[in-house]
Amino acid sequence: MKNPSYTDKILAYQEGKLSQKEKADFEAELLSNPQLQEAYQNFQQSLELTEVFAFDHLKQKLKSWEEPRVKRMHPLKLAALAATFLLILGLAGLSGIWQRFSSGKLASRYYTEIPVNIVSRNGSTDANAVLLQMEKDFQADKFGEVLETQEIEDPRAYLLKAQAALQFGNGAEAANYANLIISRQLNPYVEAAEWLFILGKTQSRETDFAKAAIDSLLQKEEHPFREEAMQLQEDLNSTWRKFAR
Amino acid sequence: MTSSYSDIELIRMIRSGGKQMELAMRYWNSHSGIREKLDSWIRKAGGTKADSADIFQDSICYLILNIRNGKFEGASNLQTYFMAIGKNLWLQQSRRSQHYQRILNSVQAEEATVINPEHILMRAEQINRLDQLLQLTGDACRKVLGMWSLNFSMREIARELGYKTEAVVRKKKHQCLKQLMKLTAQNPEWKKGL
Repeated sequence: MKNPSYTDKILAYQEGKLSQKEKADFEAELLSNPQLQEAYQNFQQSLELTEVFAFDHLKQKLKSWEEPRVKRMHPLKLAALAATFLLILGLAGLSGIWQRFSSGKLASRYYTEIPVNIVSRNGSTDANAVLLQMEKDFQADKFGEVLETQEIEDPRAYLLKAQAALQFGNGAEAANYANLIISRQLNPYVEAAEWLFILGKTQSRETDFAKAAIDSLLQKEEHPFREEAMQLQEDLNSTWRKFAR
Repeated sequence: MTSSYSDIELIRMIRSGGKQMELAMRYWNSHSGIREKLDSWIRKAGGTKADSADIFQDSICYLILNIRNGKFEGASNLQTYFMAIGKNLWLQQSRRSQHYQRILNSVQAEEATVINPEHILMRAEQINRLDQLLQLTGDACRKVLGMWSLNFSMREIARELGYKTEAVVRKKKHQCLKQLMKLTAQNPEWKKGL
């Protein structure tokens, strides 16, 4: 910058840090001082450049919403490609499974039983209001709104977002939210999260993860989703068997 | 499955920026049914599934930026405008391909719906060119300024990028803008592309 003092002045103006008088003085000087005009023009052009960064942010965000996709296969992995294709075809038939388990069952089992006046861990009513709104949106099938609600550190919010992500077909995002609960062992929501994690991984075609998570769940005799997990395991195995024939 | 938005609502949400804009973007990305439409067009014009997915994402980014910076004038509906962006991005990307003429012919034979293509292409080229130069700005600054320019609140930026407080983000944004002003002043040739 040719004149650093102009930079500070312009930024203070842009950030609203000037008093009324200073602001009026600045605007008057901007009309009469060519050096300040030049510096201000440079500032405006810098702002235009931030569009490039905005583009990056948007692209990154879109990528984060995408399911993990199968990359281009090496020719030698042609057999694996065919296998994957057949598996996906089989899994498409399972789409009803996760829908059946994810929306109805979890909603009725966990959400309708959650008292709506629960105060969050820090006692903030603000977080409580956010959660309430999320629940309303979820019940009204406004899954996009649920996913776009500001992040609050509450396992119920994570569960709602995980289910909303499943409804959006974004299993990877669902599994991520579920994992926030599992990794922090936020009881009593861990079991529901474990099931959502499995559904998310199944939906995002990460069958190895899904199968490992099912195995782990099935080791817990009292797990409330044991029955569903067994059914899903059977369906997944049956798909594999069909493919292996 | 989810509420549907009119063009007017989507434009308002995109202009207000931040989380509202993200909601509109998510809606467009998942529910407008236009992904299939653009995919079908690109596949007919010689593109692969991967090409189509990439063009779809870029088109959403340009749609949002064009609405925010006032380049979208509402002369057509959003779907038509979006398709025009996608088609032009694909044509631009195919230029270097040896099959470009064939692609162009197939496109012309099918339809010639293009809205201000020069503008869209020029912007894409500018962004690509500036992108290399602006690597100098540093990753942290790119992220902070990118979100700030999209009207995310300091709180939202702090949450997403892992800063401890809003004050830290505010200070970072100040430093980054200052750095960017210095870079633009030192490299006046950048301004020609703007």
